[in-house]
Amino acid sequence: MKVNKEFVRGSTDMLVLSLINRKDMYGYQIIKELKILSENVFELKEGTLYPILHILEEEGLVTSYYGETEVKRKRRYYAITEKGRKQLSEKRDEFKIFSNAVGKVLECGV
Amino acid sequence: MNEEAVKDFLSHALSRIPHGKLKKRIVKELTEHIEDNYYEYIDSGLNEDEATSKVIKAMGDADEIGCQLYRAHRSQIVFIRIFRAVMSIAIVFALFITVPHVCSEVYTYFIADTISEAEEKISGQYNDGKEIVFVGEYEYSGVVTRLYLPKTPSSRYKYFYAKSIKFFNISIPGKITEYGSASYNGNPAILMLFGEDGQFDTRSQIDIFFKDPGYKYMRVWIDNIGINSCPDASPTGEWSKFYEVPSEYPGVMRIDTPKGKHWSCYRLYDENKQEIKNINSDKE
Repeated sequence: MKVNKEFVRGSTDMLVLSLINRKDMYGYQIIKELKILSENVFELKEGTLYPILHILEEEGLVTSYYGETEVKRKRRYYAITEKGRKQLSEKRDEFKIFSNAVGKVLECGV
Repeated sequence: MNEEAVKDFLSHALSRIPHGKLKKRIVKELTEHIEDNYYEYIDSGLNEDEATSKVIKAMGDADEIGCQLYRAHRSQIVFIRIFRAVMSIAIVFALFITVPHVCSEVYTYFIADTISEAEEKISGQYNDGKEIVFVGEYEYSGVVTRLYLPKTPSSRYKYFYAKSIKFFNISIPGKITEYGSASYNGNPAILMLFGEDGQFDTRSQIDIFFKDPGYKYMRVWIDNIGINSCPDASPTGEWSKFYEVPSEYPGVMRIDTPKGKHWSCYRLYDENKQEIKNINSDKE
C-alpha cells in the first residue's frame, strides 16, 4: 500500500536517525533498510536522502566517516551522535503522543 | 554504465554547489550510491542502459535534489562565495602591488619637467635617508614617466625616481627605492619633495674632496634647480657664504644647502677671498 507523501515528509529525519541509531550506515544501505523495514511503504527518492543526511550532519546529530562495506567498497558511513540520540528520543515521544491521539480520534469515528 | 547520463544528472543536481571540497564530496557520495544501485540492477539481469536509466530515475528529480543540497549547505556555500570574493579582491590588490616590481610596463612614473609642476604634484617625506615614501596624491596630467633629481655627479647626489600604483582611483603610496643616473629624455628634471609641514624638503648635501691645496675658501651657487647653470642661467640663485677649506690634505668638506635648495657650482678663493679662476669649476 502506498502512503501519502505528506505523512512521510515530516518524519523522514526521524526515520533516518532511527536507522542510523541501530548501526552506522551509508546512504544506499539506509535506503534499502528503509524499504525493507517499512515493507516498501517508505520509498524515498534516493537522491533526496543525501540533503537530509547532510542537514543532520550540519546540525551535529550525525557524523560521517569513510569505512569499508562487506564487499570491501569504501563508502561514507553515518553514525549517530549523543545529540542525535537525544533528539531521536524526543521525536519518538512526540510521535507516540501524536500517534495515540490520532488513533483515538480515528477509532472514535468508526 | 552510461557515464554521460550519470554526469548529466550529477551536473544538474550540483549546479548550485561551488567547485571545491564540498562539491567533490557530494559527487563522490552520489556516484557511489549510483554505482551500488547500478550493479544491483545488473545482477538482477538488466542490461547497462536499462540499469543506468533505472538508477537515475530512482535518484529523483535532479533540480529538486540540487535545491535541497543547496539548502543543506547554504551557510557553507555563502561562506565559500564570500571567502572567494574576498580572496579574489585580495589577489587582484596584491597583483597591483607586486607586479610592478617584475613587470616594468605596469610601473607608473611621474615626471616633473619643471619645478613648478613638481611642486604642485609631488609631496613626500624622507624615511631612512635612502628611501623616500610618498604620502600625497600623485596626480600628474602630463606624460607619466620618470622623475629625477638634477643631473649631478653621482658621487655627490643620489638620483631617485618615484613610482606609484593606481588601483581604481586610489593612489597607493609609491616609494623611491632605486637610484639611477639618466635624466628624463636628456632634459634634467628636478624632484621636489615636501615634508609634512608642506615645506620643500629636499636639499643637496655636498661632499667636496679637495685634492690640491692652494685655495683657502670656497662658495657654492645655491638655487632651487641644482643643475649646471650657474650663475647666469640660474639668476634666482645666490652665492653661499665663504666656507673655509679644510687644511688637511686631502680634505673633505660637507655643505648642506638650505632646505629646498641645491648647489649648482662652486668657486674657489685664495686667502684674500680672490677667486682662483683656473680651478673654477661648474658641476660636471
